[in-house]
Amino acid sequence: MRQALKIFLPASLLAGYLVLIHCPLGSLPPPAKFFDPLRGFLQPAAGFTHASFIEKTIPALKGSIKILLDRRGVPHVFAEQAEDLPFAVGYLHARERLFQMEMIMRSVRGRLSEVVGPLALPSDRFFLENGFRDAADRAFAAADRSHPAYQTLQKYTDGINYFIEQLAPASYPLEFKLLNFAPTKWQPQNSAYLLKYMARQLAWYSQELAFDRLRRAYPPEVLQELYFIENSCPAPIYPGLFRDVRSSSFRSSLEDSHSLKASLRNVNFDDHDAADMTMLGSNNWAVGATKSANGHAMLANDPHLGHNLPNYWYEVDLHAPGVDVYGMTLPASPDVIIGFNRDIAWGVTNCGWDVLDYYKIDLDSTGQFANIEGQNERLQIRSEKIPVKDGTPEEIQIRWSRIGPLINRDGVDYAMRWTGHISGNEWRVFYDLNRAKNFSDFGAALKNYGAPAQNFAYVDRQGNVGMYSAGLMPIKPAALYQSSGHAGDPAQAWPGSPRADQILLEPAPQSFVPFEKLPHAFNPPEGFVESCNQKPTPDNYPIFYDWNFEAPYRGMRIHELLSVDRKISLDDMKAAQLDAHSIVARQLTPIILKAFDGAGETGTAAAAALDSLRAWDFDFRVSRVTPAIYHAFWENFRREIWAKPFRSQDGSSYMNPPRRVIVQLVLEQPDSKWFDDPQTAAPENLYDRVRQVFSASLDSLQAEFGSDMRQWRYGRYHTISAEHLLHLPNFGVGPLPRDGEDHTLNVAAGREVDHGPSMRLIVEMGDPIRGYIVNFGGQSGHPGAPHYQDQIDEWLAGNYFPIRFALNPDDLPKEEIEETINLKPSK
Amino acid sequence: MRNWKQWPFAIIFISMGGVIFGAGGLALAGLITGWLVNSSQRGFLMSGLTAAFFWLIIAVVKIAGDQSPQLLALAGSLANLSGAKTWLLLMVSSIIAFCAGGLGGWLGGSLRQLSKTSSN
Repeated sequence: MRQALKIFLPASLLAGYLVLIHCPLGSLPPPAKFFDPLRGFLQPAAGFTHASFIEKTIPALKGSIKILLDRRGVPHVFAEQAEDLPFAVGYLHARERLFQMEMIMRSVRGRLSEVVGPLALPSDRFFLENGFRDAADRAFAAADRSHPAYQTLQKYTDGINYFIEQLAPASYPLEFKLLNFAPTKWQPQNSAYLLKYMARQLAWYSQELAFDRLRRAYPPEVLQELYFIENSCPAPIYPGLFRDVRSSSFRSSLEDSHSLKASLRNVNFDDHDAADMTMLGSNNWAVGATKSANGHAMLANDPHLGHNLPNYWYEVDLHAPGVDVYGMTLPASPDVIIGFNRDIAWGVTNCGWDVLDYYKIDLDSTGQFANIEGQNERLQIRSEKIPVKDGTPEEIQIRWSRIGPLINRDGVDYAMRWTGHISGNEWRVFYDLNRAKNFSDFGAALKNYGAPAQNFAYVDRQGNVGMYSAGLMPIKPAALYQSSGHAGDPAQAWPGSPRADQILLEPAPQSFVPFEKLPHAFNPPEGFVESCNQKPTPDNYPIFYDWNFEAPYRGMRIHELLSVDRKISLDDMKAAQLDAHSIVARQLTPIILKAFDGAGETGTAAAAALDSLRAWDFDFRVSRVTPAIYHAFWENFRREIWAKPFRSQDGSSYMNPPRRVIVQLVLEQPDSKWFDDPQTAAPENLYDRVRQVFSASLDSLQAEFGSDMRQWRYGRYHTISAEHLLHLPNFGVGPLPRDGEDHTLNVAAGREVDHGPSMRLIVEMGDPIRGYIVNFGGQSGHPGAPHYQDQIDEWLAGNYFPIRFALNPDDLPKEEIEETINLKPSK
Repeated sequence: MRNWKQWPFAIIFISMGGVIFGAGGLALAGLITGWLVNSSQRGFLMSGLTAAFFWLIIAVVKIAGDQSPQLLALAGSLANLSGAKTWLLLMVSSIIAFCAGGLGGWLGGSLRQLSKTSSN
């Protein structure tokens, strides 16, 4: 017995201990794996650092591929066979961004909870119930298998899976080790998931729920006065478009393309009930040869996305027979999304059109049928089980009507209609764009583009310049269209307006503006094109397609900079991209000063602050104090003006009117009733409130930074941060000082900036092609790796890296090459 | 085996076990070491210490030699550790190795003693 105990005790302790250290401890990974210095957190992921030389033999290849990674980790890829090129891109994406790709794929598939736990259940429910995965699967299933873009996806998948198969668990990226799971084998349709993921980022905007709340709480006149005001844009993207589209044939063709039926009620529902209506924006502009200082067309693009680490973009230089292309790819997709080839360059901004609508529908008692157009139609209903790490799997129902997916909020069923559900050929678009040679090819490529709708800027080697707003642009019903401000009563027109419930919306199938008639321009007389998410068309454009565009100020500013009476240089393009001059501040600062005219003694701090405003050039630079004074005032002013009138009884805020509305009120209606504080007996006007808020803002700056005004530098007040995908502390960056504000070209909205230019690109289509680029972050997706965030300092400082468009390997200086990878086919 | 000769064997076994199988390998190598040293106590201490030092030395070499300092800092930040305190993670690593090797050594030594008793 005693002998047995001598064995049993250490044996059972050892067995128990081994089980314990090999099991996850709550959300922590198994300690035996994580703390093993050869396999755990100290073992860098494959690709974390770059070896000087790697050679691999890969049976799947038709020819050799040489990859030269430069000092920034940018791969210059030279493939003997064009069909092997996507293999190399897949291999590189997997090596540098495997976890990011896995997260995107899992997000859209509704499988985040499987590896993250119950915390991710709301995300999984959202993507599944709202039909993202179904739409991506359908788009992929319907893809033209004979088009080379489809073959590209297959080869790209092979490259990713080759890397995954070679990957030992010890070399998994750190995040896989933390979450204790293995990378999933890649499927070609995952690239379709990425497209839906980006469409959700850029085209999933709707304020209908917020309007619905407002409508229940306020009389129609309030909404009419403050919300349903279509932008009158002084600088639309296509100022000359009206001439082209007003023809009666164009208008009648649109009117004929849909019919009205009394079946569906427009409802006002939305997930975005934030205090401010904001969307992700971007800037692009292009200058033609006639306007360019050196006679070559130039293009600039800075897409504004959420600042995350790793960044969305992965920079590549790709060469194979028939294709030479440079630019930014999105990990999970094989082609260049923004960039240039030997003949053309292109860049994108978000259109932000209203492409998401909700309709209240009635279900029968069984819940299987929906009443649509007076007829009961059977819904497509299926159950889906969401696996949950450390939790019970959750079963959800996914319901589709022919309008779109059904969701239920507060006991009411809604069908949504979103262009992202019906598009899906975008990978073909970028395949064709990468190989386009002229504006005709460019247009032909964009014809297949659906969502998210984008303004594609264009330049070519011949000096031409153009812009095409591509994507599915839904034609709003005639009832809206005819009374959308061009005729009839606008109160009837705007979605969500007090009388919108009475407006009958057209049933499915939805119709869209034909591609040929989408807004576009080629070599306009101005010699340049630009888009900054503002309203694309002039006020008298005869189609109603949306009413609430981004404020026009960035567009106005770039017009101002490009309309100068001289030619534009590359340095001008850089300066414009980094421009921190605010037209809004230029317009509003005199109002602040006027409020204090004759106001008598204002105190030392106020007098000094006013003096600095008087001397200000309206540039928001981190080294200055005045921008902090102005910004603190303006943020407080907006909040003060709207906080009281638009606060509900339960203390929550209603959605504020669009930002442009308060600017208009300040500039045009100083005696507006909205400037009166409802909680005081005496009536106040604009100037009274400006004085109150200005003094209070100075007090708050003093409280935060001290009474020495020199310490109120904008860089201390206004900062940028970027978080890692898993929101892990120290895996991100910031807070760091940040130039700019909401309406500067170098955009930096809010006080704690979390989105903005995700990269900056400038290309001059000369011979040779010259370009400059900088990424917010770096090439690597591995936290702690040398190229994880090595470009952020340069990005913040407004510096660029020269682009090396190497047409053959010898074009790259030896000292620029950090790593060489040779991928060879089997003999 | 005489004591001084036992150490090289322990180091070789435990290093191989750790390299090939990780913590489980440390335990297995500890078990063999314990059997060879013919003592549960010596098996525990010798295997445990060898395993702990093996993981510690590997970790130090990695941190000194490549990009692992950044990884150490990141892992430390997850546990709210910074600066020199991040080295506590290496202590945890060593303790895990010590227990795996030590328990293996204890069991190996005990098994050897049991087998001797049985054969007598």
